[in-house]
Amino acid sequence: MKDRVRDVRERLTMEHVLLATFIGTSVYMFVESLTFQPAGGMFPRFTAGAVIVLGLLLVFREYLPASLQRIVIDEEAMFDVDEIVEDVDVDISEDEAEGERATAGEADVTDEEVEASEKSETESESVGIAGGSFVTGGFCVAYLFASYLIGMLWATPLFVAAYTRWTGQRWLAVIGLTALSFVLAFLFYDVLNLDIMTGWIHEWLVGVL
Amino acid sequence: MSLGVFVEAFGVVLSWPVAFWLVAGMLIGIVVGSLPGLGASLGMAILLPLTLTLDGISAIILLISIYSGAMYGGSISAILVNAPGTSAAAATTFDGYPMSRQGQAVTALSLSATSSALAGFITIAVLIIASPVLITVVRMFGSPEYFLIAILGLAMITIVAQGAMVKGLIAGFFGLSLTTIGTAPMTADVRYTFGQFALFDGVSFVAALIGLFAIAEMLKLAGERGGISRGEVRMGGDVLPAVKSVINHPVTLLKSAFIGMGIGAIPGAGSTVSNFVAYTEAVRSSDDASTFGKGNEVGVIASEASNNGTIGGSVVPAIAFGIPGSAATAVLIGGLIMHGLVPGPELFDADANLVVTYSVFIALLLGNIVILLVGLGLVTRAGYLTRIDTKYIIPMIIALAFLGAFALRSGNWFDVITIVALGIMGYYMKRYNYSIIAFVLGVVLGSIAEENLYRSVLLSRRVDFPVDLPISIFFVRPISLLLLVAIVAIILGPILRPYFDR
Repeated sequence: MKDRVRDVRERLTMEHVLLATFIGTSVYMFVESLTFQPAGGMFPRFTAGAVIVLGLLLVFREYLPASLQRIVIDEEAMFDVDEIVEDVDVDISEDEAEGERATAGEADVTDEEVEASEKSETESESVGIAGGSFVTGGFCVAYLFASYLIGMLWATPLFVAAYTRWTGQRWLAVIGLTALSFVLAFLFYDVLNLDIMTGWIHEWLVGVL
Repeated sequence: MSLGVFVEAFGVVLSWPVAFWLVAGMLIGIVVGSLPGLGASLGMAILLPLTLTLDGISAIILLISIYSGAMYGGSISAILVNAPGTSAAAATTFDGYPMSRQGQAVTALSLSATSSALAGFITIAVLIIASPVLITVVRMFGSPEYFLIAILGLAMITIVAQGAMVKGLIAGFFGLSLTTIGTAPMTADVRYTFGQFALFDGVSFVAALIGLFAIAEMLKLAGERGGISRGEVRMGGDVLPAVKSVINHPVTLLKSAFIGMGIGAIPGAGSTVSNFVAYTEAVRSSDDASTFGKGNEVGVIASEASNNGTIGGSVVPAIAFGIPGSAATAVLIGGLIMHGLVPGPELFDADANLVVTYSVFIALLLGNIVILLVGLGLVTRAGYLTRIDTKYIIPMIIALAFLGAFALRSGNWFDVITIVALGIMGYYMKRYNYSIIAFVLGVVLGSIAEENLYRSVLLSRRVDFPVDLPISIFFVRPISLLLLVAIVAIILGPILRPYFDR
């Protein structure tokens, strides 16, 4: 049983979460649409119904007949441009890295050592790459909460300072970007008359005091 | 052509402050286009909320100029550091970067500026000349056709986009579903609001665009390797010989420009695809194919002529039918709707908004002159753009996205939540090959599609059809029927093809 749970957990990816979001939301929308007037419920029922059917096709893609699998299994795009662009970039990076190694007198290093060092670099890079997006997402959520709590005018420079420090920028860059972000936020406050000076905490404090 | 309206549009574009927004948009476009990871759609999405303070024509011209400028801007980093600013300039790296390494960076950048400007100018001129035919075609479309063409657009995007067809369709239909939140356009039913007043106006499609193009892109960029600055680039070569070289290759220039224009009109295909097709065609038709990839000038001309040629092609379905040819035109449609300009017959009616449509065409035409002047005039200074580290840009773009979203409806927190939620969702959709353009198309066109479906159902009641169907109108109008057949063929084609092959 434990093995089965672990097996399922290992197979679960964020795509399953995405599909669960699509299907779950659409099931709710479909059911809720039955309470609307016929004309008001027609379009939501049509779109939610389509998402449910298509989502189920994707969930059970491995069990579908071959003819249906053609439309649910990822195939190469008509023009897989991203891949080509990445290939070009990698080729050049490799060329440059090779050039740098040669000039640094690393020609004597054995192939195994180079391979091992490249492998460890690639591994740490991929961890960093996955972490970069994840942490940036976390920063965005924190920025949202901070904006609600203390006001976007103050949360914006805080977010920029925290983010630039986390990415290891020089102090001069951190201070410059933080100041620039405050100026930007202030322009929104002043020119567009946006209520970003105060947040929930201010209102709470006013209530308490 | 309605000559009077055309002349009026010319006057509008040359008037203050519209001319200023044209030049400003071009310059912003060149900068955002030259920075890898940014590009036209992000630049346009970020500036959308700020256009609220502008009049409709100024706003649309600013947005379309960013689009046009970014198409050229993408070539700068492609040539100088081998990292295309936009995927539309990906093929430019093949010969542009080797030229740069051979000390011919100025020549390559001049080739890019000249071919971009000339191709853009020619294709837009053709579009303007052909506009009376376009107007006639657009006027043949009614509510049933507009509903079906939205579905056809979704179906077509799923063919061209990465990932399985069903993934594209589910993305599009989920986008349509999101637009049903809030007050129903016809019946005033309040749908899926959980009693929250902030949701009565529904999900703002501009917030959705900012989330999908700004936040999702920044999350993606944060996961990629460092910035683009790779030290000093040697700016060698000459401007004039490069201009002459473009003029001496008229066939490549014209062929690539029209390949771009044709492919640009296909929903979801856009400049990224045309760029590679034009480059491949240039290699195929060359007597000297072995020199491509090693710094052949024709490679740069073909690639850059095609991506600017795409603009004319992609603007047509966007303005005429609300179907985006690319991510940038999806944002443009968002801008049009935000300023009360609904894509369709109204934009081709001389008594209504035809002046806006012609203003867009003329702005694009004149924008090419700006590309030529800026491209050739500041060519030796272009290296500065490649020294900007994208790590500096990420927090600033996110901050601008938050502030812009909050400003959309003067402080609606739901819009800020939308950009974060859809940003994260968009990031994972990209990662697992769910078409973002299909999703955007759904979000942008949802309310228009719903209104047209509702009208079609009403019209169906008056139709004499053997079977009592709520959508019988789709079967009795020739264009509707044709569109319906096309949708069925596109969706069922991949399933039925093996049976026909036997």
